[in-house]
Amino acid sequence: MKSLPILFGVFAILFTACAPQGPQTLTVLTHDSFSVSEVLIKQFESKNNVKIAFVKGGDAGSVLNKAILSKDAPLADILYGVDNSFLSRALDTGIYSPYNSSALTSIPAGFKLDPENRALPVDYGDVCINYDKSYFDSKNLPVPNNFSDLTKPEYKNLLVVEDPSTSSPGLAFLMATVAHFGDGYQDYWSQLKANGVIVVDSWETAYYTNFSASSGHGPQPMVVSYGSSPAAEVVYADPPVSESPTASLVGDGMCFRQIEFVGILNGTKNRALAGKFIDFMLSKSFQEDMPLQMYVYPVIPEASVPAVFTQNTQVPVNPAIIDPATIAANRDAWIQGWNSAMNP
Amino acid sequence: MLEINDIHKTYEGKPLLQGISFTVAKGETVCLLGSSGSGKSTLLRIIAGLETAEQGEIFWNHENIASVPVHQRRFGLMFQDYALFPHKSVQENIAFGLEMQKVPRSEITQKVASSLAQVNLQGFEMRRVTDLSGGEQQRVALARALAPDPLLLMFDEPLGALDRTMREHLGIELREILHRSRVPAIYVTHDQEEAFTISDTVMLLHDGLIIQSGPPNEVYSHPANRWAAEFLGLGNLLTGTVFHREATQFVRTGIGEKTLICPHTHKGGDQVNLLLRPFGASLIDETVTESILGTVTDVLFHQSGFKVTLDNSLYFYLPTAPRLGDKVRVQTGSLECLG
Amino acid sequence: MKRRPIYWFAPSLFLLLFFFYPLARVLLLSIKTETGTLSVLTSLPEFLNVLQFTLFQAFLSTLLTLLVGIPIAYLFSHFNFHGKPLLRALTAVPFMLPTVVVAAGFTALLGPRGWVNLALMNTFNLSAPPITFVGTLTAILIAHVFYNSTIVIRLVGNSWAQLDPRLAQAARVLGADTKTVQSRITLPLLRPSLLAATLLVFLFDFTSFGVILLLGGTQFRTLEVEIYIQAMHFLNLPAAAILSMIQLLCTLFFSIVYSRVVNRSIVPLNPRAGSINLRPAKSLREKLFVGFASVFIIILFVLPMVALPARSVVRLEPDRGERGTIQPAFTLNNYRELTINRNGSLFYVPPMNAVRNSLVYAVITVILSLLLGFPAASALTRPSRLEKIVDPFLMLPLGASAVTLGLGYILAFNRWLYFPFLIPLAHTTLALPFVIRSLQPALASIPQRLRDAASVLGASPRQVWQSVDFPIISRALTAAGVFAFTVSLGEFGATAMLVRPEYPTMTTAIARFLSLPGGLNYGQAMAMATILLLVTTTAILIIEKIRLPGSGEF
Repeated sequence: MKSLPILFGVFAILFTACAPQGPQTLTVLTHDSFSVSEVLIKQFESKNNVKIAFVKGGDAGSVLNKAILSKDAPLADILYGVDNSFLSRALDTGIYSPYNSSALTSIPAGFKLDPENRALPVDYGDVCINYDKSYFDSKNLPVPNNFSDLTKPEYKNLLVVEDPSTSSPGLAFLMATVAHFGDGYQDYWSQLKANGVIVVDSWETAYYTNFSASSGHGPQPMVVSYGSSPAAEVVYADPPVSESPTASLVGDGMCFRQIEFVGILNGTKNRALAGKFIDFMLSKSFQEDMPLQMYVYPVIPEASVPAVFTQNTQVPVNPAIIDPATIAANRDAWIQGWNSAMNP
Repeated sequence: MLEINDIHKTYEGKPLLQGISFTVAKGETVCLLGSSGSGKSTLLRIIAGLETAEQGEIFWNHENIASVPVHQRRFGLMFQDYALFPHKSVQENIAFGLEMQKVPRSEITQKVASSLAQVNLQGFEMRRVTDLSGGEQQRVALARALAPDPLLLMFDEPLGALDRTMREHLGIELREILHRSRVPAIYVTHDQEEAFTISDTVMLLHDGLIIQSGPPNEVYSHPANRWAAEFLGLGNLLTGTVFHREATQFVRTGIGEKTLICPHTHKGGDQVNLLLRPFGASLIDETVTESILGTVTDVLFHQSGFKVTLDNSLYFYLPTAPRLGDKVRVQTGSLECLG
Repeated sequence: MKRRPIYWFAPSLFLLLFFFYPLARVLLLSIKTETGTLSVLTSLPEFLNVLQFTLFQAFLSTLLTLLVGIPIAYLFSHFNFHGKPLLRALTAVPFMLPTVVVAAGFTALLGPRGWVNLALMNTFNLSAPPITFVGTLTAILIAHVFYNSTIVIRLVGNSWAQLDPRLAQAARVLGADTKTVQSRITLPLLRPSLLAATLLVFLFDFTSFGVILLLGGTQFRTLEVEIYIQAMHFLNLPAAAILSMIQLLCTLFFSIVYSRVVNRSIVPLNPRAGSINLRPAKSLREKLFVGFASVFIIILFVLPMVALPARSVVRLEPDRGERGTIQPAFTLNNYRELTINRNGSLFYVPPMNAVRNSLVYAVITVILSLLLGFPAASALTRPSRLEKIVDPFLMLPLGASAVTLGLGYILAFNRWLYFPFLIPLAHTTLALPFVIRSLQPALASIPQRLRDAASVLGASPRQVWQSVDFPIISRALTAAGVFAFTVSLGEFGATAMLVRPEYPTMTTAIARFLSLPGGLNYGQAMAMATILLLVTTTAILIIEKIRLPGSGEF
């Protein structure tokens, strides 16, 4: 194959030609759901004479996996997207390098789960059950107020949840039941199973195949989703609607709080710039941009939330919270426990 | 006995077979001669049932076999390009037809061995057909067609790939097999020597029709028309005008005025096609009425004599070879009329 | 034969670099931890169960795929009829659809609120959907057949088209009825391509991931799903690594079996021009067959996907919460929305960019895998001892865990992954075994004497390739090219697990739309999926129309 040396030669030239030139590049590794306004990034880039390269790495678990694997030769300067269910594990592997951002002072203590500031909180959201308003209205059915209600006969076959071993919101909901019932969570799940709960593999399937109020027009009027989903149903409605067709069940402990973190990766060669970027992520403009980009809430109290959120979403007063270390220690066991309860 | 009645077939819109009728009786070997593309193979395929005629019937022992499917006709067909099963050994190929007839295993082995012996391929049972030479493959194909003792045998150029000795030997073998078994056979070839050796009846196929049918010597002596004589390579072809002299027919040709041998009478002035056979000629000195003068342009050695071609394009087989460029006088046979 | 080492050099180097090396790195790293190994040992019975199920569903799926694919291969190789090129292209389209899209299509057709259930509920006044599809083994099997039939149809169909019809005719004259002809003559001669197709289909079913996850519900776990869960959700790399080894060993085993069997059955044939067996359907039986087969193809291959374009232009609101009453309205808003960056996101993908990126990757993959695969397939037609041993290893990329390989890429290539070229290289790793396996039976069937004849007539080895090999295998080359194209477009296996600098493709765009709630997001996903469908179908039709120079009748 005479052409092969030529092929390799071409590759080699292209490799070197694509080496970064000009302004420095800051690489940010994020999960797939990351989004931000182009305008904001351009502002940061021009202000700091830097080029930001975003690299998507799958869901939270995948991204963390990749970061851990490449610990010795980090794939990026910054890692965003690890949430509180993975936090302890991430901190244990030492992939982060601490950074005491000045913005930290304005963040409420409840979000700052890492006292050493290796991982800094950026946003939060709640995993809540969304329900189809018109279904409940048409059946004159009151919405469930607590976990026990879900096991009542009038709600039989109406709930779809995700498998905690394959889905992050699925795991979050499981953890909410653990936080509420403690060791009795398995009994609770047996009852749910007896009451016809449907289990699917992922949020996409649950929301778009099974949920009745989404475009999938599925059979179940209740789905484990996010507290912000009702807002999205308004923003992306076609034809436009005045109020959301869905709402969340925010009874005590029924929602699980997810906080997402960012951190500088150990081994970065752009520490100063990375710090600036984290400050940027914790700045008011970025924080206020997040709701309509990622459908999450800002951790900075001064950041305002768009009207469509305040009008259509319900923020839980007492979301379920479990500390990261406990999660890290027990998550495998909880998932196995769930498995045995659902598949005896 | 096989009866073909008025078979018509077109090929890509153009007429191919335009009314073929003939019979093949028990023990009879019929040879179908014709140029390439004349439809000989198609006719065999129609008889085998692989293709259907657009018009006409086929009768076997007075029964119309149009509705009988191919695999139930028990006719044997040896394909022109052998169509040996490449994934099977010689043994398996030959045994195939016997297996279809549910012949017991022990008999099959025996029959295959004797078939192979018949075609001079003893011991070839385990060989892969794809490893054989062309001649060997052809003989295997022959053995495969013969082995199941079919009711009617059809051969499509069965000996073409063989050397002369093998061809003669197998030709005789075939003839013996056919006569012994009394199986009717249709033999397609363009080698007329082979045709004349093997067959009881020779049929000439031209332009979709059988223009002549008869025993070999008959066809040889009295070809039906110019095309037949040309196809069979019977000799030199000429044209001439008939005239009479003293109640004998003569013909005026490019090589002079010659006597005409003709079974029917022509009027004076008729244009006729003529055949001048190359055999029985000799070199002479004096002028004889039936002699031809010419300069030798080519001399070729042949088993039947030296093929000498003259400058007028006529050729003759002579016992001795003249030199190139010699002016010679050749005494020939008479001119025969054609058609 | 001085050329032999060269044939092997390029493809081997490629696979070493882009498959074996990353795989080795991730496996070695994972096995180092003892705690991981311990946990695996305790879960061993469960893992064996998973292996058992994986094998079971793979066998069953492969069998069904053969049952569906072989008659359709017969249809395409023997009959000409209206709409044939389009139907043929449509059977290949499923292969490259992302599972998310396929699941959406099947659900729209057979899901709890799918057309079939709705129709049945309306006709028979039922309160609950009578057909349960999602979450059943049937769903998995049907989806596998849907995806993989094209492999059988193309590989076996091409072989069949070039089979000398006179062999069957000779058999018939010798007294064989149709069934005997099929079993004693046709099937044995089709064996090499049948075996190749079976192996490929089996490996795909064996490593099936998306289908199992999305359509099988949560009770069915295959090895690959288990590897994914262990790696990505339990962050238990050692367990994932050991499962990957098991998967690889199984793949190796089946590949070796295949090599043994196929080497015995490759027979030099007289490949005829592909059109020699083609004719319009004449008898009533033939016409019925063509008719039924066409309808079947439409039902199995077209119908599930029709939901996508339908949903991209039809708005079914408002009827949420209502059961049974649909008020459809025609809309092009979803397509319009594709061109709008509603929230000013940095990551907005103009649809044409996504299409362009997908196509560029695919074209590079096709060129690379054909360039590398053809010599390797040539060398394998009459393999030396060493080559016979190496042969089964060629299949490993198809049978390797995508998750594991993806992680291996991270380890091995790190930041080189940001280099866009690596994506098609990763695609090529997957396409290469495919290409080699598709070409091998075709190349093996060329009688050596044809090559000899060309050589004697003065053709250099390259000219022999050009004038003898190429025309005869041009069909197989086209099939191989189509496979490589669709593998790339569908972003199978490890390529879905890589980190992505922003060169989004159609598949990543679809996944992104489906990750957010809202009618417009769903609609855009459907619209992009429709575009993917159209692009693929068109591309396949074009590829089939391109006759390689000199391929002539073949």
